Amino acid sequence: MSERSAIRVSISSVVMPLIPDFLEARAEDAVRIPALADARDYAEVRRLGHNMKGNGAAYGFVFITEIGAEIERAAHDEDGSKANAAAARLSDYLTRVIVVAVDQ
Amino acid sequence: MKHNRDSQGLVLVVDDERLIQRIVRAWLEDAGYVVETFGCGEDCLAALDRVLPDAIVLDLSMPGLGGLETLRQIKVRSQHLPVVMLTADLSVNSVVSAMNLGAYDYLTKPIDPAKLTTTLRNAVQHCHLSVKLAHLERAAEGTGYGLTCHSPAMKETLVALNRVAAGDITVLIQGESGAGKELVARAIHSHSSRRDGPFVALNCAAIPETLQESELFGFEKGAFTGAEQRRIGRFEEADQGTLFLDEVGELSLGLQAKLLRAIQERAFSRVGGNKEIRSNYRLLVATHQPLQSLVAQGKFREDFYFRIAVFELEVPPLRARREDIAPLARHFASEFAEALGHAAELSNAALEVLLSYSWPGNVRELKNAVHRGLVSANGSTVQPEHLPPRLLQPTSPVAAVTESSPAATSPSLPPKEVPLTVAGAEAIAVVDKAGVGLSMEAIERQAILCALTRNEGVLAKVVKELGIGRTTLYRKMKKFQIASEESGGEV
Repeated sequence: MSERSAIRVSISSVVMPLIPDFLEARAEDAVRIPALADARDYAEVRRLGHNMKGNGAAYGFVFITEIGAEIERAAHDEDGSKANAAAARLSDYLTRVIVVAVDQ
Repeated sequence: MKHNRDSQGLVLVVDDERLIQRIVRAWLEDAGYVVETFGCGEDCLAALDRVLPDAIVLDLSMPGLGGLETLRQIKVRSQHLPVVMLTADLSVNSVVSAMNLGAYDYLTKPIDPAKLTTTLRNAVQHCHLSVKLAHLERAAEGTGYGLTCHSPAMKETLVALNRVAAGDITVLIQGESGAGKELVARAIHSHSSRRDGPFVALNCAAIPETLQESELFGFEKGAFTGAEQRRIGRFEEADQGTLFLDEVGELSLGLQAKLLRAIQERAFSRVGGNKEIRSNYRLLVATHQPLQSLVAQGKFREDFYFRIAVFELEVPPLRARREDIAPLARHFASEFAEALGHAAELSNAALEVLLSYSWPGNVRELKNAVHRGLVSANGSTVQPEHLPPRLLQPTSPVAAVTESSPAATSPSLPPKEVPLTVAGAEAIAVVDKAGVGLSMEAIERQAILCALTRNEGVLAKVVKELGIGRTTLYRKMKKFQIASEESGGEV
């Protein structure tokens, strides 16, 4: 990961202790979604996307909310390739994101 | 409820997603709230058996009971408790349903922390205002008069009250009916650290014995015929506040035993339930009965008596605080005048009548007499003829006898020291010299004569010794022709 491609996200210091677990869980989601899509378990894909949509911005990651909505929609349409593509973008995002704590 | 008093309040967060629980907890704790989290509605409802939160944050879409049903059951238990709904989808139907069920507000996911804390702050304030309003409404239904205190006897009571109010000590308030025991209890509550909590009063004499237990401890659904829903009792209602049990002498021995355990262990179960419930309350009890005598007669548990009589406070009868009669009468006149919509004054003559009466019914009787006077006067100054006739009965010579107690000295009527001369007082006999039984009247007459002799004519002591009201004593003295020296001694 080059410094130039890094994505800086400012996070409230209040929730900072929760961020490592949150990002780790999203990385696991990014791995699980293609496998679930291949198995046509769209209900679970949809649930994961729905949760990401609900949690991402709450934790300070607007991109995760957006990608979660995309994954949920893809699962609703039972479109495995779109779900896989979104999971890949999520995975890429997670390798580039840098979190900066800010006091609010 | 286990949050400390410096917190903004206790908030329950209910969401099946741990990530939401954790982040909402982080935000709310940062804003000063104490937070408990739950993964489902069932767990939240179970928690409501042990805590009284200031607000609940509830996810609309959850497995199991679901957000709407959980909301409905919360509202059945606590109408004033604000519930803020969380929803990922702005489904109009579900949001409208939630609002119709009494949700305070709703927030959409992803949750904006600023919006969450603002909504919670408003919700908690709303909760506190609703509770305060309910308390004010309940207080307005009560007696309505304050603790008027111009007499030495009442001042003594207030000194004791001030000494005991701040702590958490159990107080046994004793006094005659109508003397103002509940007002004293309310005054203790309002001067205590629990003043922001509820004041829950229960008159044990007004509840049938069969209902006393469920009224005090609450009941579970199906506990008995007609128990269609769970209901919390007065002990739970008083959490963080004060529980006032009036006329505690009316409780059955069986219930006294249950109360003893509940008070000692601060834990109890609802009728029909096994779950132990805890409540943090201060206990105040009152009675007009001599509890120690009841203990001696086996009508009151001794262990229960010692548990409740940690500090005893005596509310003097109105006849022992005559300096308070005129201020109280004017206060009631002003209060009723406002309600009746016209000015109302008490004439000096009417006040003199009030000051001359013995008030066996105490402050409550005075209040009713003033009310009647104002209604009869219909907007004009209240005269003696507007007052209840019993207050105007011709005064017997002995009625002018005043007592040596300063607390019983009228401020408006100068005390006249008229010593009683009691002739012929002997030990009470129940048969005559021939062995024939005496009539009840003859025995009563002897009893009064003996009491007068023993108490040197001080009527306050006589009525106390004989256990009768002053009016009764006057009537009987007149009937038995027992009079003062001034009127020529015994006739």
